[in-house]
Amino acid sequence: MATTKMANGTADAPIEVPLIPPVVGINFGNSYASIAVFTKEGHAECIANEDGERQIACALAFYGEEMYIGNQAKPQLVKNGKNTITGFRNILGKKFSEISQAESSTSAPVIQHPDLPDEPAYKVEVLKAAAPAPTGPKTASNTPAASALATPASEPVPGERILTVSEVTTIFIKSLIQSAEDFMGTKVQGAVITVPTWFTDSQRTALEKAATDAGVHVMQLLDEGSATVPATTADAWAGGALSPDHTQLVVDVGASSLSLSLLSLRWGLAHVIASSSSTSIGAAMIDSALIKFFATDFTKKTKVPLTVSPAPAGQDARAEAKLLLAIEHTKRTLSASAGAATCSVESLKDGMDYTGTVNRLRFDMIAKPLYQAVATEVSKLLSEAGVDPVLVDEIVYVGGTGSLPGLDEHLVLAGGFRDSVVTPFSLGTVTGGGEGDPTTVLARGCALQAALIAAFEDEDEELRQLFSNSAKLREVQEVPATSASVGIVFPDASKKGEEMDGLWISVIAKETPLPARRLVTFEVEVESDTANKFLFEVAEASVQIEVEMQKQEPDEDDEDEEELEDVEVKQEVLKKDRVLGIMELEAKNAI
Amino acid sequence: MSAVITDISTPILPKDYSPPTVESSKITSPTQRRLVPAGPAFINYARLKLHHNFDLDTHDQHLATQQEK
Ligand SMILES: Nc1ncnc2c1ncn2[C@@H]1O[C@H](COP(=O)(O)OP(=O)(O)OP(=O)(O)O)[C@@H](O)[C@H]1O
Ligand SMILES: [Mg+2]
Repeated sequence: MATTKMANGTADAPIEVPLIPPVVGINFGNSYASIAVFTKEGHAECIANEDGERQIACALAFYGEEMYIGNQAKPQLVKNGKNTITGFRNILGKKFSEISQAESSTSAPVIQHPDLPDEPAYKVEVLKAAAPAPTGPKTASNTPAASALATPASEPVPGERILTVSEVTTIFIKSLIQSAEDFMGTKVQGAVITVPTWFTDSQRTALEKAATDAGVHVMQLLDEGSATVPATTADAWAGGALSPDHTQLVVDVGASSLSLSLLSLRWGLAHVIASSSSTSIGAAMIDSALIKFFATDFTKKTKVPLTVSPAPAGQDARAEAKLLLAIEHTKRTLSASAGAATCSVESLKDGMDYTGTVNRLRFDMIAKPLYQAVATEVSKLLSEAGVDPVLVDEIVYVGGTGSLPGLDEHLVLAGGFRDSVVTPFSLGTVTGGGEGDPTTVLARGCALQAALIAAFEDEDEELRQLFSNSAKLREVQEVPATSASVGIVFPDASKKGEEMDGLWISVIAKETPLPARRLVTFEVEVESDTANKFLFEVAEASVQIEVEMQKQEPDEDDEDEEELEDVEVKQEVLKKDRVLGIMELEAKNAI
Repeated sequence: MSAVITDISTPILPKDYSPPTVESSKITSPTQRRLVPAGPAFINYARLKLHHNFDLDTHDQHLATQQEK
């Protein structure tokens, strides 16, 4: 077996607190994975592995006798691509015949397993320890295990190794769990792991098996579109900026995919109003434009011609792979600070080093087609769901590319959201490991969920089981939700003829799962000469969006005498649709 | 518990108020949705559905005894 290249835990030794369950949350993306555990304060936090990485590349590389896992494996894509495995998450649980041959030429191709029917696998070159010489003296079985020195180390011989997609996944998950155990100083007792919403049942089963083979007890497989919920419904999330009833759009932009979920959150209970996903929208759109930008800059500075994206095989292809590695850092710098970010590659081509910079303005221009594609998908989803963007109260970003401030700026404007829409950028919780950090929110959500499941007591065994039984769980998930708002109306003379004829107090919002119980407290005013009686109507109401054209306010700082265009101003108008009943009551003590 | 205390003070019933006609007291038929199976509120919901058959009173009792522990 090849050895794993891993330094011993550099993570700080944790202080052991018995109340914190030794469970973890794992975000298992196609490009990157992350792990969250509980800190001594009881917060779910993403941890860095022994390489100091919180975003752990889903990659495995073989070189000689070594096996590299995670971010250390990625540089192998440059010179040792055929022995480097990436993109295995998406094809896990598929039959070989179901996989469209990967367009990516930089990593190890998926092959038909030589022995197992219709089983996808990878073939890598390795150096294996030579078989012991048959004439060698046999060690007596009762002698203490001989050290490697005892037998003369024979030269390893070149060989090949076949790994199924499932085996690769097991190796990878094992290394994630190892990192968590090094951090916690204790064995992991269970994990909640993300799965893409589009995973089929057999893919879910395959992931569960691969994790079990890695020695992990899977407490729940949680959809990527849902795994944010335990984090976003926690008290700490938006610091009171949101009502307990709100509509939330989750925008997950990764390396090669975009997933959108429109959620109705009602006092912590969430359901999906609509969702969509696309595999043609993602950071890859930025990456190819960004490396082209740097390649052009390199040629300008060094006079060495370089063509990338696509690159001809050979030197240019290697330079392209190096640039793709380097811009990981560039993009992270861009989202972390407002200044310019560098891209540095040693010996990019013809032995020439390269260092270039890109500022945010330029970068946002390069990234604009992606921003626009995301906005278009969002508009499509909302219009199909019949939800006006001004009715969305919050946008939550997920995925590495969701960290880019330019995306938020563009989407809020182009998507037609309210200026006051709450986003992790408006809250200032993206950077510095904040609550809203899109790169950690999935793992943290899973860790919180794992802790909830771990907290079940014996009498709740049935509930604990529920989370690992997706068929049963699905039954429980099915729920009727209100299709109009229900509230009460106090008739008001001054509002006669208006849409409501009175004062409306919303009690049960539209899209509230049933049964629902709400308690609303308010003061009633009565005229004491009418025997303390008061009356209200119970009614259903709907929100209508009225668009008004308004003259733009002239901007005082704006020196240009440009003609001011009219702007659309949307207004929410509540309309009483139907009276369900009239309640007449007597006030107990009139003041 | 989802309780909202408002600072609303209600208007006095207009003298000429005439009650609207009520055709049905039934709410518009609900839409079928799928809950996100995560978070404390979902666990409460699952318990209400599986253990208490949507009886809020026995559910409340359960929560009260949990609190005491
Ligand atoms: N802070 C950051 N700012 C900008 N981009 C980032 C940041 N961190 C990571 N990325 C980019 O995000 C992408 C990875 O996102 P993520 O981890 O969400 O992918 P994934 O879900 O595993 O992949 P996929 O979309 O292929 O399924 C990479 O392109 C990476 O360069
Ligand atoms: Mg993703």
